[in-house]
Amino acid sequence: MDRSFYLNLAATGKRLPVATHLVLHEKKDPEAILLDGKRLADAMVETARKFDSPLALPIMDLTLEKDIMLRTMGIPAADIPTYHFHAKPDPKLVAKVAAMDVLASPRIKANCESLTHIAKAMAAGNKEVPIGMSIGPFSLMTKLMKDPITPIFMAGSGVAPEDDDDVDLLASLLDLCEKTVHACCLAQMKAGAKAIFLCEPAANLVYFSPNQIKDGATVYQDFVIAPNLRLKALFNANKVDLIFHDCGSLTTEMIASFAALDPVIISFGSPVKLWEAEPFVPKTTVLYGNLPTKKFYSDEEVPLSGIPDMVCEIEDKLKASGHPFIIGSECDVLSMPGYEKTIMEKVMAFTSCGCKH
Amino acid sequence: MAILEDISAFLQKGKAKEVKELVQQAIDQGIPAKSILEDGLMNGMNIIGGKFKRNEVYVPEVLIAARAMNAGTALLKPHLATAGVKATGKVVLGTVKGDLHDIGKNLVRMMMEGKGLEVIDLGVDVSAEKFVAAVNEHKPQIVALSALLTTTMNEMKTVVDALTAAGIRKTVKVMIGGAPITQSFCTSIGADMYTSDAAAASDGAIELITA
Repeated sequence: MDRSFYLNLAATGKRLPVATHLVLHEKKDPEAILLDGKRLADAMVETARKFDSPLALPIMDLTLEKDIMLRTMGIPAADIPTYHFHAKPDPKLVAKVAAMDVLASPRIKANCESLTHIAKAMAAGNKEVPIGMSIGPFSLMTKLMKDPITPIFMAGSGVAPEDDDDVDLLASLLDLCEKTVHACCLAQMKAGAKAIFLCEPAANLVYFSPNQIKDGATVYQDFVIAPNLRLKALFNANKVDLIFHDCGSLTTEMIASFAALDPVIISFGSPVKLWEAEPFVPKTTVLYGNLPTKKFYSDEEVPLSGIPDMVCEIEDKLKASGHPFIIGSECDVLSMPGYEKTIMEKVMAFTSCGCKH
Repeated sequence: MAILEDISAFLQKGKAKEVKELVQQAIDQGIPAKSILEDGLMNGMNIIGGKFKRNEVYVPEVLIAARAMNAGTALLKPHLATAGVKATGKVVLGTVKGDLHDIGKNLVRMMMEGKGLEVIDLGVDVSAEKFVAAVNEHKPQIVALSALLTTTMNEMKTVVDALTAAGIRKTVKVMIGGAPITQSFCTSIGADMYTSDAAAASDGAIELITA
């Protein structure tokens, strides 16, 4: 898409949640829909239309990439969610991952088919734009080690891979993850995605010490930004837009590093104040977010009556900055058993409330 | 004693090798194990905990310090047992069923161990049945539950209900925490304490045990 598409969308003042999970769980068989490309496409389009959005957003399920990677390596399905590497994977298995067919995953296959359905409908005149989804290489790597934080810190202290097994393992797994994410993104691009929501929720203050970065460590650039720059080159080569998402606690240096990836939209979680992030993001990138939707279930933490003030605060401060923005959720708005009505009411409130100021 | 101050200082810098060497030296000098633990190792961990609360250090520094503490504690354990030194209290800890996130839980464990608590870490994706079995086996004063997802936090209520159904709810205090958790949620599921971060959780555990 032309970048002006996103800037114009921001200029309309629309407020857009990432809410396909909410709509999907209003259906009686959400698990079946996740395996059915056509019905999944219908749910994505239904969600887009419910909120008058041109963006047909998928479910933000960031477990799929680990699943297909480990299945390809022959790890039993039951072990995959909690599987951690304790030694570098065999080069033959790495080669298998590099050549894997990600469509062997029924969930990824359905996701790709949903993108194709929406892309075909778009070519036929529908306004909904098919958007893909993937975890980023760094965040995927953190799911493969029992303790990734210690080797990151050690690497930041100057310990080289050849001097420490864990630092070596981390570097090796990051390479494997980059291959996996490339394959997953490429499949979605081929399926018709016009943009991909790339999520790096682990690239935050939990995994990286700002003290160490201030002292000159380059681990953040080496482990987060460099792989994502290579991924961005893949996006550029396929004329697919990058929507970058990180819902963690971040420093302004981290925010500026993400902005250097030149995403069309950058999405942050509620730990980041958008108006404070704004000076570190070019005005050609739309700021997205970031109402505290993870706590929408709680009327004490986020009362329905308080939502207009939250919206107004973001709108007022970003309007004053002149930065293009879209008010939205801080993540996928997850349907939560027993709280569906409360959450949907608040989502509807933030997408429709007026700003008094 | 200077050596205990050094243990504390090296622990704060996460220097596991140096901490281990100094702890061995302290043992060889005949310094009581309890004093090495409390005035050296726990002192260092408490200082790191305070700095973490004030955002002066971050999770990686806490993990590195905890690793150094573990290196020292491993040497001390037989001496503590011989001297009859017991843990301040016992906690059964885990991330609830369906949730695979463990960083917050691990931090809580390290901070609690830094306060001298014995922590039985059940890991991630822990069912209510496993929590009940662990309470029956280990007889802790506290069960601490972690969840990062709104889709899994309801499992905390399942654990509280399972403890009640097993007739052991009154024998333990239930602490809960995690990104989406609130005080009102804590009250609504019948848990005893919500804390917003790992440092507060370790303080809270001591408060519950000594109350």
